[in-house]
Amino acid sequence: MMRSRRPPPRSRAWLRWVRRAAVASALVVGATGCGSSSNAGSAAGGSAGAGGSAGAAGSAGTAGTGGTAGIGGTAGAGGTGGSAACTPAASYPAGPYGENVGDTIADWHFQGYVNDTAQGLANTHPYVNDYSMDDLRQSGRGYALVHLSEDF
Amino acid sequence: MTDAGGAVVESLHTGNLDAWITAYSLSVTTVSPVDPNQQLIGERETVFIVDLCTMKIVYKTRGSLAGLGDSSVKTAIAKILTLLGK
Repeated sequence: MMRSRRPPPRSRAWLRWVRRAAVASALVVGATGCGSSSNAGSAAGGSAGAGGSAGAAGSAGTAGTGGTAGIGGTAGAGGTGGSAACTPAASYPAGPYGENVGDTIADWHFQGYVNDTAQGLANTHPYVNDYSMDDLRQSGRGYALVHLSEDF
Repeated sequence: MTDAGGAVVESLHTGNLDAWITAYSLSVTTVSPVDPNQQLIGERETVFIVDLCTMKIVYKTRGSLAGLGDSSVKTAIAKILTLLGK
């Protein structure tokens, strides 16, 4: 039987051991799979809540008169199942592009605050001059929710 | 949702991004078009969910501009979490 390397409780070495364990657990939470689907199998690279609990979801903002609702905080969760069928193309899909379900979305280019992990307010992150749908495509995430808050 | 494998983009066409973020305490990616004149699709309060492997739109909805009922974001969040297997 392997001998445990866990230091004596409450010692400084024990505190460092606990921190390392927490960091290691956090790294596997949130592992993602490209093109994951609702019936995806077990998490790829991590399991939900390993060493930590999911964060509480914030509520979506309420639409005001003449304005649109903001996006609320997002719930923390464990890793998601990835689809083995997903192999992203080397380049952005060619057109034609469209706006309806089933259509390929155009490679829009944006500027602003990119906060992929939703940690802290968006404008506490660096301002990015060019953030595109292609950047999202290459993010390794499965799906993107794009909210248009103003007329386009 | 971001931890579940999704990405969220809040796009404002015009106005002050900082004020928008502060007003709604936005923690998600908040942007505006590089070129305000570019022809983007959709109208205000429209949400798209895009499969980032194929870049195809898999869900689209538009909420009420009068603030009635659930916002488009609220319904879309439920949808994307289902897509992500949550």
